[in-house]
Amino acid sequence: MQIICWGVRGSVPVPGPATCRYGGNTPCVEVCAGDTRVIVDAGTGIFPLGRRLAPNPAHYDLLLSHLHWDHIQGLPFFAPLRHAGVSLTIHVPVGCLSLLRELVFNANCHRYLAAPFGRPAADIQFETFACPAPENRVPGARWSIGEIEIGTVNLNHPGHSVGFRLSTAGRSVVYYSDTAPFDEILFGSEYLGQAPHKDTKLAGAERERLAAMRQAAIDLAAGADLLIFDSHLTRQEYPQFPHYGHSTPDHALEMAIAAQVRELVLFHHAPARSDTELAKLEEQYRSMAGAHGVALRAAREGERINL
Amino acid sequence: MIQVRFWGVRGDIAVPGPETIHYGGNTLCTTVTDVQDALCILDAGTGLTALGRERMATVGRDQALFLVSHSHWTHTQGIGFYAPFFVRGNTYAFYGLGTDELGFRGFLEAQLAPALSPLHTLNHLVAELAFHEPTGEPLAWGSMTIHPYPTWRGPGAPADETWQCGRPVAYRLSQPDRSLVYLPRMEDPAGQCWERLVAFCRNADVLIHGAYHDGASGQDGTGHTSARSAVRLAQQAGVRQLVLTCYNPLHDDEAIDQMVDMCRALAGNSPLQITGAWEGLVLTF
Repeated sequence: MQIICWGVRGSVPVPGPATCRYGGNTPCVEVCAGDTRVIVDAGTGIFPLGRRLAPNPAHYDLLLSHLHWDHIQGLPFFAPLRHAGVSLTIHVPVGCLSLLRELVFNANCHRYLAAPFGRPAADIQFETFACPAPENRVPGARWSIGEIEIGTVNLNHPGHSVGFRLSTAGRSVVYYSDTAPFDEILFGSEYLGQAPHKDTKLAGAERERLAAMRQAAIDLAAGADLLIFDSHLTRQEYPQFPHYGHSTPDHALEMAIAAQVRELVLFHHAPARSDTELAKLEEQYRSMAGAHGVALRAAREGERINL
Repeated sequence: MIQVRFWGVRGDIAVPGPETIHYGGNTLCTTVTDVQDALCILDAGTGLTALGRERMATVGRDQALFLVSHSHWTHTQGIGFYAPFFVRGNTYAFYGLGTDELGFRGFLEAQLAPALSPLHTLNHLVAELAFHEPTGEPLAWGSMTIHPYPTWRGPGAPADETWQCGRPVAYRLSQPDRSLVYLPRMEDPAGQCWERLVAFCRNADVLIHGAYHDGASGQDGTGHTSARSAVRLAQQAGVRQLVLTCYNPLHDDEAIDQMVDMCRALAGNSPLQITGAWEGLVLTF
């Protein structure tokens, strides 16, 4: 199994000299096993990936964790879509399908963006998957794409996001790009404009739902070779911004230890985080993780990870 | 005095990485300020993020006029990341064409819909925002007068023709003795709007023009502008300085260098000055 991160940044792409080492593109991860190629999320990182892939006739599968801009904004610019002979299956959570179609592929609609290629020449299919709430004790959807088995779980993020496990022949990578920790706020579809008051206590039912969500996330990640995890905020920033729906490297490490994964990959770097700061964080947390027998790296664009 | 600064110079999609370090990888955002510090923000691509950081650090109360040239998300995707929008008391006016269905405010609002953005709605930006669609009437902003221009308007079109949704608008910003034209994209596949466009750009000190491709055959008709036609327009309109922007995301620094060189060669011995805009470039005239 081979993994390449093409976009590692959260929220908005950040070109410039301060991000050249770790990268400034929004999320996109390529996972290959044998002849199967699965792309996870379509942030701006899918643009450089598409340049490498096009125009070879091939089939690709794309998994979308949710539709926040930073996870879909690269899709209309994915070069293979311009070529007949290419086919793409886009797997989206149930409920996201009609909006995604309208956003990216409605050539006659100027609502968001006229499709830059007119009608894409590639054959595009959509598949939806259900990801039921973990408190119902129903596991998330599972299915296979070629040689790769996919598992899903709901994460704690505004408007929901989905986490994926991709496994093949005893190797596996888990992708939890956007999630808050599972103890302070239960995110749903309502807007949170500021951090809740420090005396706000979660209702018992909400605490239980969060605990169930956390357990489901740990279960899906259990024993994975690689856990790619939201590390948008630093420990110092988190108390100010718990309502952003993102985690810190501490939260990520806690989950990696709980799920007994082999290596943790810090991901979804904040736009303002410079290469220098990231290198420092990476070093600091690498030794902390090492003490628990977990390897650690900060995701870096273009780096190839072989499992 | 007019001061121009470039914060994002890319069309379509942001392209971070070492290959774009010189010119920059952010999508379109350019600022124009006058001597009274009246601020115009031309397009709101990802370059707006860095501008927001600078305004937060340097300005007490922020106020600006946004001029959006095209209702495509690449021209507006920085809006959720402009930090001064989250400060009460800051005020902004937005001008741009929306979409048939939604109008301009609705177009921006739809981009913040709950499924797409944690912001959910423009109402959650606590600054005061007003939205207007260009009508052909000039606007006044600080010491500047601003003329919106429908780039697709051909000869014989009545002056009161409806402004069409989703099409690229150009802007001319003037003081009594100087002016600048902002034309990142245009629509003129048949060439019938050319004469009017030349008249609109006539004698501008600075023409900021899209240079998405070099103008070789087969690349027109995408709604993007070419470097070759930029030079032709600047020369015919008697423009003093041509500044290229809205680069193709496929073009690295070297490719843009070559395109700028090609433009200078095309301009020959004419007095036209040609600059390829990069992030951080400041022009004062």
